[in-house]
Amino acid sequence: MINFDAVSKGYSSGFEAIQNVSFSIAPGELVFLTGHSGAGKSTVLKLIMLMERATSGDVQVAGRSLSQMGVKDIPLHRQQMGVVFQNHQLLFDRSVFDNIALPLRICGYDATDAARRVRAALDKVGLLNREKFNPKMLSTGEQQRIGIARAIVHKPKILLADEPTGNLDPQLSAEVMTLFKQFNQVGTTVLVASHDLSLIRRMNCRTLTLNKGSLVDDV
Amino acid sequence: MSDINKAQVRGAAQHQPNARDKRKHWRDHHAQVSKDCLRQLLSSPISTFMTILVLAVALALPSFLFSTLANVSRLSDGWDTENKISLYLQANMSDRQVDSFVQTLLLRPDLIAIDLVDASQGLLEFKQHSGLSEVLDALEQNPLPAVVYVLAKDSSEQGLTTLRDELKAFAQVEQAVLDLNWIKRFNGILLVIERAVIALSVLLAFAVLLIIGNTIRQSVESRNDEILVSKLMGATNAWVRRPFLYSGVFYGVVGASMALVILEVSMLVIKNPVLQLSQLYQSDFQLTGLGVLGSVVVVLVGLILGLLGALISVNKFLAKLEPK
Repeated sequence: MINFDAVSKGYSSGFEAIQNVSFSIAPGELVFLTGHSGAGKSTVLKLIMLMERATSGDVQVAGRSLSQMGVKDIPLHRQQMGVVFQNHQLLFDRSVFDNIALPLRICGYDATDAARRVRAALDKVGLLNREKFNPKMLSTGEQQRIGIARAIVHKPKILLADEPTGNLDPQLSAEVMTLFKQFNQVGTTVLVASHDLSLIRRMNCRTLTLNKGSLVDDV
Repeated sequence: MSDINKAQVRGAAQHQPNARDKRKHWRDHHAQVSKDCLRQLLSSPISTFMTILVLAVALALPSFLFSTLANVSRLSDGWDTENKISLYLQANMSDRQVDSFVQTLLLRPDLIAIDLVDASQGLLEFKQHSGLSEVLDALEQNPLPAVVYVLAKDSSEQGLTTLRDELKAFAQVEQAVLDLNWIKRFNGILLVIERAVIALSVLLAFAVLLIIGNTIRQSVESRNDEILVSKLMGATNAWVRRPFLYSGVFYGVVGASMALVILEVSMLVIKNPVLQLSQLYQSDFQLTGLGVLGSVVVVLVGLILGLLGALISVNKFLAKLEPK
């Protein structure tokens, strides 16, 4: 599903975010990506989302090479993915419902169908009664769960998460991880970047470890 | 593996809405976005109104100048086709001599009409209009010559000049006057003013573009987060642009409509003085506004400038978001 083939990403400043990274993630896998901050975890996710392009090597997602994707192909490429951001990136000028409905509006779902899907997603993260709230009124843990609901509302093929438990206490972190596991069980390919090693160990899943931009471990 | 594949297939089937939904959604999105955009503009009514007022003034000025210009050149249109030559005859000619001269003119094929104002008739008219009747009465002799006005068939400047020279060559004609020069000068001045108005209009159109562009740029920046998140979720550039294009068109069209109102009011204000002035010159000249076509053009120009200004601003922002 996700294929990195000798991928490097350098910036004009001379900084090499990742060097010669190769790995392959099969459809339906749940994989963790770990390493210290600055090891290149976010860069890997950005390359998959086509927020940035590799300097060399090839990234393939769902059988398509990203280096061959033009500007016009990017929207459809991103629509097949759901992303959970570290700082959740919720919009505070609208309700929880409208936040979650955003990907559906972008993909072009019918309004009644969208409403049904939004409620299903809210139900899945256990926040069905928060529909009409402004995200500002929710706790950090709840905001993160809203962020997850928004990432999965359009049933993406791939779910990416960048430090999804960064601001959460251990119990909430465990709940979030359980959610990821559930999505993975219905066939979604999940890639979670996290530096929370103890949590990752408990999950007992395949883990890619980055160190200073190189892939040092894959177990 | 086979389980995973099945799930994959199911997931993929649910992933995209069907084409009919998409079309309906596209229409719904336009309706939704236009409503949202209107609500947003009206949520800060004073700043929206100020922007529209500035746009209206910038659009009204060239419209006003153009319609004034159109009025003035309409005034001179009447003179343009004037192919009249005035022949002042020798003062010492008898009525019979004048008659026979007129007869010879009547035979000429290059003249359409001939109007004789004989000396006594001329004197009578002069007395009526000049208010100098007492002075004229005191004179022993009629000082005025007979005048023949002829209308030439050929109205070109070249043809008229040749004809004038030809008529002037008659012994009976003291002077032949073809007053083309001041019409020419007038039209020359008009042309210069017209060019100046065009240059000014281009400048003001540019100003309108900048005002709308800048307003939209501010609005884009204030919705920075929303755009970034939407783009990451796979929003197309067209989707992101849509609300801003609606705002741009709103500013352009409402600004232009306001400009038309300003124009109408200005026309109303100067209408009576112009009428009085034209009555003093015994003219039936009347001011005309832009008319339906002109108004449509102004609104269309507003629309295009609004669309263009918004497009430039949003595109500049979106270009920064493309992956490098």
